[in-house]
Amino acid sequence: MKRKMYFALQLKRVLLKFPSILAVIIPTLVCTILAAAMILGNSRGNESSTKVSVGVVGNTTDTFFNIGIDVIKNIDDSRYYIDIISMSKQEAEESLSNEEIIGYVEVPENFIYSIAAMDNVPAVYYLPNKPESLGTALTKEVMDTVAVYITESQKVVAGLSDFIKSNGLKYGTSLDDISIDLMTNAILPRNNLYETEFTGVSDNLSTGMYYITGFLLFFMLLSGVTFSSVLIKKDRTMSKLLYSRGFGSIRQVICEYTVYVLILTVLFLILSVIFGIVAGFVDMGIRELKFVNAADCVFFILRIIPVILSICAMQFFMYEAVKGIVPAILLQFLTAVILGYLSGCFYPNYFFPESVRNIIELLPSGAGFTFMRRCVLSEFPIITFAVLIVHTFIFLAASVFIRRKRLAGDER
Amino acid sequence: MKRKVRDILIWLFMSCKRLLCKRTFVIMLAIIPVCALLLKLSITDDSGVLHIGLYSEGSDIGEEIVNDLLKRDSIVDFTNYTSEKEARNAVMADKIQGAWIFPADLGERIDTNAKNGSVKPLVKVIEREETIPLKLSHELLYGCLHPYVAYSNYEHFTEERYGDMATVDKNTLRYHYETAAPVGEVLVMKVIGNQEIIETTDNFLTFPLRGILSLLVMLCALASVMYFLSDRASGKFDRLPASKHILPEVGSCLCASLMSAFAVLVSVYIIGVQRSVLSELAAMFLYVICVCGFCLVFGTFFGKAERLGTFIPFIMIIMIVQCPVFLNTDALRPLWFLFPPSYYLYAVYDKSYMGYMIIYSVICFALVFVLNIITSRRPRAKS
Repeated sequence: MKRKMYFALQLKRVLLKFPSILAVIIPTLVCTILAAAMILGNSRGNESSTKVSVGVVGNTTDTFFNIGIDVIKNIDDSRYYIDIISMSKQEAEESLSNEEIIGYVEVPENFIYSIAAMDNVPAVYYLPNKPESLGTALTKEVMDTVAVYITESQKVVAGLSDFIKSNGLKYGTSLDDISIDLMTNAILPRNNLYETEFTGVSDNLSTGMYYITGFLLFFMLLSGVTFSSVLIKKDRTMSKLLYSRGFGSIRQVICEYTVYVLILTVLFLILSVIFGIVAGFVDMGIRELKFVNAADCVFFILRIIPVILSICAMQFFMYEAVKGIVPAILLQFLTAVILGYLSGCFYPNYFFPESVRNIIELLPSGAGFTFMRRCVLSEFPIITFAVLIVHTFIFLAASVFIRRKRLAGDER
Repeated sequence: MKRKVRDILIWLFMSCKRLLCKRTFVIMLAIIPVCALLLKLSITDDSGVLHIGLYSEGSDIGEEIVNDLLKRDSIVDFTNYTSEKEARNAVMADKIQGAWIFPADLGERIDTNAKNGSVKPLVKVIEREETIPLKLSHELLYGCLHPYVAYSNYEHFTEERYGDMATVDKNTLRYHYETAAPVGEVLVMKVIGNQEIIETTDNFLTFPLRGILSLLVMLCALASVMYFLSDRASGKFDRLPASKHILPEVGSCLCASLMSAFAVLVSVYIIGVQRSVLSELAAMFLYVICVCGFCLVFGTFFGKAERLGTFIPFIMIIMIVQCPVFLNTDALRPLWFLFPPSYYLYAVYDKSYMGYMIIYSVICFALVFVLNIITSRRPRAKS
């Protein structure tokens, strides 16, 4: 009876403060969706949004230069993932400063002749004077490879020239012929030199769905901050009174925790219905969401209840362990960002070394993320489920222990 | 004057002492360099933007390429597999994003292509799906193959064209190929403004860390403002006139920012993403001033610790999205200039942003001054 009354009391308390909670949740949700949309836009294999743009600055009156640019833009296989834009030096510097291009190559006037003469006057690839990103790191590696193409091709021409000279033979058109051969039979059609086999992603998530799941987890982690007004205990008078009347810390913690989980689950269910309706009308270009509806989304939320239980238990424990509004909010937010980063919400988890990934799998966020991804694929990973349940028990037990110690300490 | 300076220093010392008495704040300061050290230790060679599996069926060229790739220092991580099936299974299990299988007759295939002028496949590539990073990785693959392809083309061309006129000896051809090397580099890399590239121990996983650390300074400063607001609400500053409450607030915020800035600078050096000492110190000092101004604006505007506290996640997420922490994006570009971390992250690389930081600080403190005058005239409710 006491338990029911206390549960009802806590529920009423949360519902009274719900408008203020909602006032924080909605902007947080909007920001999370915005972040997800931006990361999704950056990572999907959509030509228009993910082609890397590189500027080229050179003598546009030079025929060979123009031919070279045309070949790269229209014939070379790199046209599918690199956008080469011819521009002036000033335009290139401005575009690089405004991050419209990832870098630009300045080709000196006598570049082609110097290559032919084996006395290289180097082209310069300019990088932005800004924090490095994955895009710049990848294009640096590609530029290094392009230098290899040119250098090895030069060695071929130089070797042939040396051979001809040392044997007293006539050059004829040999040097041009071999350069053209290399270009047309090897460099330009180089993508035909691989036999590509696609295994498909049917047994794994597409990149888009990976990030949507990641940001759902991140929002779940952040929800701990949005509920601070109900979870922070400014005044423990009620708890002390109940404790003195035999309503122990276990029952108090269970009631308060259950209310938190219930409200959060209902919130996620409502959001899932809205998402399902929106997904039914808007094509997000994500394979897994093609035929999804509100019922599927609701069912998914029900399936990830173990994750909600585990994350809520962790957040509840943090509020119990820390006194004061300031450290509580800071701890919740820091935990959300750090666990979100390590669990792979912002970068795919395979970026991290295997040893780190193995440790992350044991954390509530890592295990939760794995569980959610498996649920999308209609699987049920038993071991991950067990890890989540163990986390829930551990955090709740720790919360009970701290509450009991605090109340017993206050009694003395 | 001397006495005033002494009073200010005493206030700052007491603000620092007060913050250091807060266990959570001390833990936060300690966590920053500890997390940086743990991350530095955990970043090993097997981290990578892409993970590619390699398998050679026994050809000499294949073995050489595999060995070169395994030793290569790259943001693509390569792993050697003992069979094609194992590599394929790893791709399907999403342990790796692609696999390159070098056939046993790779040498013969290269020679056949060179002889016949054909473009038949040399290497089998197994991938889950087509993505831009995987397409870019094909350039790395061809970069490994091209020396062998180019040499084979040279050999066959010379034999075909000059086989009748001269003795085409393999050793002689190799000699001419290796010795007639071009002089000088084909491509050099520089940073815009003709600055040299500073080689740091950057691993791509450390790219967002400076951004995250700058957000931690922001968080510490916001926390100190929240502490101040709750102290003020409990009456600790009642002996000061309302318009002068801004002074201990500034002191508290400055102390928190400076202490967290010190922890962040230590972390930057631990991780190994530092630039020159002068640019690090100057950028961080100006960032501390900007952060103080930014936090004081919100502290003065909200007036209560709870209100500011519930606003923090919202403002921090906006900063994560808008400032170049994880992404560098054009979306919400006009909001870019509102947040101190954006200026700081660019100021470390481009000194002109330090000037913008000074202007930003002046504007923030002017706003704080005006808000303080307005709010100090309002009666304040005590908690």
